[in-house]
Amino acid sequence: MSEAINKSRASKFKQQKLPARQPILKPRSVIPTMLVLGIFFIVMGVIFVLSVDSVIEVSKRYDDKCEIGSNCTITFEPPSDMESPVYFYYELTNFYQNHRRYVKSRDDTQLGGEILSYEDAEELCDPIISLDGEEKDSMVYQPCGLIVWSQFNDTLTVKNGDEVLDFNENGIAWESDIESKFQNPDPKPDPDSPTTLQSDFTEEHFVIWMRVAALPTFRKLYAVLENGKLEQGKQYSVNIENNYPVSSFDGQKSLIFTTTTWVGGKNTFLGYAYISLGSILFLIGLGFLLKHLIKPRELGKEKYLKWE
Amino acid sequence: MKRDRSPEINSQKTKTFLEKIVPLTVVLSITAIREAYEDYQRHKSDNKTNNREVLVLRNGEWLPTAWKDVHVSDFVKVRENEFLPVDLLLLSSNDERGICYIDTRNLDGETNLKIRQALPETLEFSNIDNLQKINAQFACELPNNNISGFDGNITFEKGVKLSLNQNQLLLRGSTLKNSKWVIGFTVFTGKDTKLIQNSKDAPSKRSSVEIQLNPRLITLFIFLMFMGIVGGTMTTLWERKWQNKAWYMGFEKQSKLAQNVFVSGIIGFLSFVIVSNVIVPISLYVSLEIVKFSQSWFIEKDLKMYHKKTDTPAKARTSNLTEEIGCVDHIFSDKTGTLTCNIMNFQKCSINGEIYGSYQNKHANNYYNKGKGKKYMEREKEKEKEKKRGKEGKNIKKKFKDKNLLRDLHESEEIQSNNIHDFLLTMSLCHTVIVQNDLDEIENYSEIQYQASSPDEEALVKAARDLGYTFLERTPKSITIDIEGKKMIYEVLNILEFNSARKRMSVIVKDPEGQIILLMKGADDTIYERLYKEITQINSDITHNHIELFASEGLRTLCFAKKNLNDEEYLEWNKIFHEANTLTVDRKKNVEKACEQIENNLFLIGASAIEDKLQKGVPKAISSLSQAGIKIWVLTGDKRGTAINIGFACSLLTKGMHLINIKSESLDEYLIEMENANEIIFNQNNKNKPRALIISGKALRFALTEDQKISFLNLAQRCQAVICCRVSPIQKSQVVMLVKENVKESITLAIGDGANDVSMIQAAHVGVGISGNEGMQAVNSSDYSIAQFRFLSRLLLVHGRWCYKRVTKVILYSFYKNVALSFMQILFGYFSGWSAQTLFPAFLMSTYNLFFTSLPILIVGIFDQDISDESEEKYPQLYSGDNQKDEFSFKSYWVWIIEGLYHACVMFFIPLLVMGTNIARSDGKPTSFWVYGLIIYTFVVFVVNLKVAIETTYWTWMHHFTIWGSIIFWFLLIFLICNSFKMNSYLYAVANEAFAQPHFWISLLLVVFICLLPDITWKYIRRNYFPKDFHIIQEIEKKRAKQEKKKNKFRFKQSESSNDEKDHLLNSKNHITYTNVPTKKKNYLQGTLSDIKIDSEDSMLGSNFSSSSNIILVKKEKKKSIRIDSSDSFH
Repeated sequence: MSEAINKSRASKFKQQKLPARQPILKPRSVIPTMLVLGIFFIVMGVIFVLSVDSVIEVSKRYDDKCEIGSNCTITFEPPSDMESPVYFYYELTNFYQNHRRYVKSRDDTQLGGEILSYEDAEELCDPIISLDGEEKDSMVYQPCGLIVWSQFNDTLTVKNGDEVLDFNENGIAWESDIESKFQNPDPKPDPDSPTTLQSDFTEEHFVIWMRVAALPTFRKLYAVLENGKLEQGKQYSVNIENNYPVSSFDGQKSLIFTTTTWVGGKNTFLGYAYISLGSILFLIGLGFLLKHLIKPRELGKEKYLKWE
Repeated sequence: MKRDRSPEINSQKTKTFLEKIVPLTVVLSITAIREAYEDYQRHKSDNKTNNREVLVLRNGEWLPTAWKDVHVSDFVKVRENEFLPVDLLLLSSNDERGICYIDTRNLDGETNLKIRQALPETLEFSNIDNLQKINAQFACELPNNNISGFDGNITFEKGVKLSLNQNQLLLRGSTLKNSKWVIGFTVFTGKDTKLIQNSKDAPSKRSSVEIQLNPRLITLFIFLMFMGIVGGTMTTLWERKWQNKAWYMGFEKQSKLAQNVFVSGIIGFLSFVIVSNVIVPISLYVSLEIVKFSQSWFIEKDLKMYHKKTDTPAKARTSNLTEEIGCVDHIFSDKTGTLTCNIMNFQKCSINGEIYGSYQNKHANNYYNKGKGKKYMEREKEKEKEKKRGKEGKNIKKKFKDKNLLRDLHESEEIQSNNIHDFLLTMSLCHTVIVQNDLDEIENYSEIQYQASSPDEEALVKAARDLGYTFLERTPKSITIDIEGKKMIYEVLNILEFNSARKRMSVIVKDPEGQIILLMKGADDTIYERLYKEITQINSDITHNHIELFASEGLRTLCFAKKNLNDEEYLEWNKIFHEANTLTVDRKKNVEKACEQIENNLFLIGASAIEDKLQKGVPKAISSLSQAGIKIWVLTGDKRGTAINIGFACSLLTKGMHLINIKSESLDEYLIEMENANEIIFNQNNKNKPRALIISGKALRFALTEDQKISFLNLAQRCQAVICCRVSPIQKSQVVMLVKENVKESITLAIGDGANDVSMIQAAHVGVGISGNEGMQAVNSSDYSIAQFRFLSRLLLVHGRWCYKRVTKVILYSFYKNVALSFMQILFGYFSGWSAQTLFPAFLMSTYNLFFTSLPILIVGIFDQDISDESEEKYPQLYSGDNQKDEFSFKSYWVWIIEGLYHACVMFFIPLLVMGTNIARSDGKPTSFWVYGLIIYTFVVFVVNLKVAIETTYWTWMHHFTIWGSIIFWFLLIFLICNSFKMNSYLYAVANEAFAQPHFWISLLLVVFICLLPDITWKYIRRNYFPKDFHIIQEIEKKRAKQEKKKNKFRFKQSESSNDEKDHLLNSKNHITYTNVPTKKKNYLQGTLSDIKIDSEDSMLGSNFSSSSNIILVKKEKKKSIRIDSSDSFH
């Protein structure tokens, strides 16, 4: 009878007695943590705000000053010296690069250098598949897809008077994209062929365009001033070959010149968010502390049990 | 491979379909496999039953045949101790009068043997030849569930028609006892048998949490549809507005169909439903299966629910109901075999105003002490300690011995000695017990095995034997007993049998000296009515008080009385009695009358007190359960008196309780009784008095009618305890159904051990079977089986509570995390032209619930303990105290959902504000759509896993491993994926670019804190200013653990100096004086001091070394406890 065949082993696991910690939110640990964290966030926030404060950003809208198809010049004056690197962006608004139909309309293998058959292109690149919709492999756009087809094609040149400034249009895309993700096919697409939408797949403006933006208002890097600076009070001009129509979809085009710090460009949100969070933490901590000093509750007293 | 094509949405439709169908298939197949396994187990045990063998007359011989092959009209031969496989019409037995005994414990829970007698006309069918010649027609009622009635007739070829009743029917499920064999004719088989008619189909039970899950899922589904409709509508509106304007979308190049804005709207609707589908969490079912399976496994492995004596662990026969046992509010318990061991012990007697026997029921009257649970627990602990020390021996089947009784029998003045003699004589003569052994083979009287129709009688006869009055042999005419070595033969003249109406039994014997005596035992009221009244019997009042005393201790009492008869008187009466017995009309009535004539003018001898041995720990379990706020109903087939006795013994009833008895035989009576009962209840004076309702099966029949049941229920709900006696199995389930259906949100649990409990076990939300005994029917139809009633409290208070908390946490968390993920899709819809573009790569959507967020919550669901099992058992009030059910109310559901929505907003908008349009990178390079998605997804992984972390109350290494592991795994996996162009071209290098930027980490910190701050703040405020009970107990536990640590340190220090101290302790008895003692503790100290003295004195008796080293141990322990106590009181 007492042969214990069915008896389970007295292991800590089976008896649910594994060694464990049961941390509880005690005033003694919570209040100091809150206060310390509050101070930490406030300090960090102040640092961010100060860092961002040194960023200089110049923004100029130009779609309303320029006819499509014409050449125009936009001038700007930096409010203070802008040390290199100075980043030069174009900004589009109300442009839904993140639309489902838009995002999917590309073929990464083609962009990686493979030649696409019509069937493959049809599957992915709809509605920009082949020239005149002909169902032939040779008529497939190089490369196919909406994103390529709607590529930004304004040309922007920054000048100081007549002197063209040394803005570098290379090294602006992710290195990995230029090095491995985007590859030219063999043979390179003929620039004169009507099926060629982009003759150099590793061209960096193109690569940046192909990295679709997350939001309908976006900035894409156009060039970087790596040496020298933009001086305060000087008039700089940007020569624009204005090709890209945006007015039909109520979009705007702007030029942005900015410097950056380690937390990015001119964006004070992070700093103020940190300061606010820190203040809230600190205030809550303070509230808890006061309450604890004025009317603490003794921990672990049986008298607090409802049935006592 | 020529080309790898896995760009983002290339085949989204087939992919999402697969992604949806795979988890669903996994869920369904896991469920199916589990169900199949459980069915198979059931099938196996059914098979075992079906293939048991019994002798059936086939081709002129008794062939062993499987039960399943026995058909109606087969002749079946059942041998002693075999189960009856079918409902059998008794034709003959080895007894020449056709008598046999059956044990119907499995049917009605009654333990006394029942007599069944064949009709004299069928007795000849006792051999094969006669059986083969049988030629008769048999007719009977249709199958029904009435186990106490049967109607049928049999017509032989000669035209003799005999009517049959339940006296000839042997029911399936009962066991043949005390008869070598019986032969019968199969009347009902299989599902037609009365046993099966009394049980219902095993219902597949779903827990109420699972049932409540549906409306919540539907809410989520509606939410999903809402999101779909909003999304779809907005798609249409957006496309209508921008179709001709947003040239870059190439609308005019699309097909006509794709240009139709309404088609787009429908596609938009479907797309939004698909991309947000995780909001209805299918994976939840897998998680729940795993969690519940683990819970069941833990229940089965729990050593504290393992019964050593029968080697039976607890068993969870279904894993569906683990959380259900966490919120039971009504328990329906069988009595025999469930609350009691069904072992009777003679414990006390009162003879001529003297009490013998020292039994003390420590449990009685505990009901009142509810509030003083602590004291009670302490007492229990004391007792357990005592047991450990071995001071209290095994108390099962303890022999009754009282030196005083034997001394008085031999030495005291004549009257008392004679009284004791008469008392013992009655015990050994006035019964219907049979000796089973062959007396020649027995060396010692204690080896004699008695077969009694009731365990009470057996207990009396055994007690008499232990006191030297051994019952040896019964012949139809005489009884032989051994009185302290002398064999005496008493001639039995008449036996006036016991029945429930008479409530007494008497024998008329002629002693060896020729004196005729009537010895009688019975219920006190019946005996007191029949006492000799001319002279007042001085002791009758005292005895009466003693009986009250015994009853209050939960003992079953019987009175003993005697009367000497002279020969003429007896002969005259015997004539009347004989005449009455031979009457054909009104025999019963006349016999009754005749008995009355002789059973009067009795002289009271005394009273006995028998303990219907409760199972170990039952009173404690019951008091725990009722402290836990659970109403306990005892449903028993037993007599009212027995039931009440047990009620007292297991502290369900207490002395001060107002007992409301309802025992009406007719509806009118019932209505009057109900009225009275309601009067009592609504009487202001009685308002706070605890009440108990005791209702009999007959009255219950009226109470359960449509008109009456609600008023009955109202009455019952106002009583602390309810006892239903003499109920039939089907009534048991009716009572359960009454509560289940009419008490809102009640969770019922039925516990029982016999086949008669099957129907109620199946009817209740949770059915528990007592395993380890012979009958397995109850266990087979139960959801949980435990070996002892006392394990029920652990099953509910510990496992049930834990499981409920865990399961609800798993469900709510699962809602939360999926809401958080999918709500971002609709937010993103606003920013993406309502195009239902997924914010994250599709494979991350479908693996969300599998890889990155599943394990931590599973681990919490399996292992979480808000408080330890010891505390759960120590504070049963916790079970219902914190309004457990609130944890799964719609309110808390919404709290979690809203938290999910809040987190979704924070996780979506903060990155949007940080890097959406702005330049966020220090190297000025732009971010991209997939970077944004991946960063948000990383936030989700962090926040959702940290949310588990703050919900975790019990951190084992597994919690750390899974929570931090999930986050690390996410990083590893995404780096792997992002660095392979082949796996995912559009994610290529995205992770490297995303996580290398400081703004990512800065915003991660921000997001995590903003998400969790409200949660932590609320948790802190609730714990510190609106604590629930479990908060307090967590703190108490913490405090205790700290003290424990201190103690261990102290012990360690002490052991360093132990050598010196040993000598010191040995030499001085007053070592306590050097501890600093506050005055309050003095009494306690003195107590311990004297304890120590006793200990040391004891050990002085044996002056060997080992005993003296024992002293040291004892002393050391005492000293330690004092130190800790005193230091505690300084605080």
